[in-house]
Amino acid sequence: MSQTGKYLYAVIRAPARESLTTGYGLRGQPLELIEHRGLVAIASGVDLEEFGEAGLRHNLEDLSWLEEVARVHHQVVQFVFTATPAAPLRLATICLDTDAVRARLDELHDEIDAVLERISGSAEWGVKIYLRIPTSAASSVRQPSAPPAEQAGRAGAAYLQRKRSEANQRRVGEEFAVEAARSVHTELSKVAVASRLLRLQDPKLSGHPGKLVLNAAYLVRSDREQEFVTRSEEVLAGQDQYEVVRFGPWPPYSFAGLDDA
Amino acid sequence: MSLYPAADQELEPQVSLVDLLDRLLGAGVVLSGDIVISLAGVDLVQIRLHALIASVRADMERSATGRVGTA
Repeated sequence: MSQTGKYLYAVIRAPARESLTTGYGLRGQPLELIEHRGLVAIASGVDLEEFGEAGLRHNLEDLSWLEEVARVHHQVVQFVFTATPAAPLRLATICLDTDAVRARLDELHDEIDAVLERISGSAEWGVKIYLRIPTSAASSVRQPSAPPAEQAGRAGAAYLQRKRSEANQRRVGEEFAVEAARSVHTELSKVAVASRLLRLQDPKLSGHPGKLVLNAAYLVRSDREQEFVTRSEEVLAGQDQYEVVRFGPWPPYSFAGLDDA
Repeated sequence: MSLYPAADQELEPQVSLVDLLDRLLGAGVVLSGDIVISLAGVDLVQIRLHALIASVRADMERSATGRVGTA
């Protein structure tokens, strides 16, 4: 039998509801509550063959493994978060045993406490804005695949000019979109306790055909959620060149960093 | 297998993996565990994982306990 460790999902304040132990973590293992100095870590047992150093090194290269673990991690954090304010832990936080978990809680007690204070009563909302890229069909439908040989020179020049003009329009459109995204962010931040700009995702990863111009996270108090949602719907209403994607309420992943305390 | 069908079907139709990883790797309380990850080659999260690795390493170096999961 191989060794087991503790995979940690989130930290909450004691006392933890007994109902939390009805949940399950990775690989169907029951959730455990590890309490220390008024904080409770939500954990579950994992096989160190799979989640130890060597296992992780190998498994993190496997995208389907990573996805499964990320989704279970998220489900558990959501489950805890719906019951009580929770400071989510980063993916793949693993300790060797409960004593090691307590040692970490002890070491970071004040920082975690400050995080819980800050996020209590709030949730994270994500907003992404895409600039739709016009389908090339509309602009290129009358464009011959190659200029006729007779007029190759002139047609070629016209073609290049048109291409330059299109590229220019696109660039202006994108600059405009970045400005629009910035003002949306300013507007939404007014309704939020805190906000954070996340990196713009590579389109290869998001699979979205549009150009991402805003990827932001907002920490919103529950009593201002409706206002936030309404504002996010109004802010670019009627501007069909933009697609606004909103998700939440989520556990406050982007606002639980210990260094922000 | 989903142990939280409600979370899957009602609360969130399907969260995109990239949005999830944006948050699960880039943020959250950094309560580094005892496991050291020293290598990873997934393009999707390479940068994030490198950051994760660097912070876990730094934490391990800081930690005097020397309790490290072994290969």
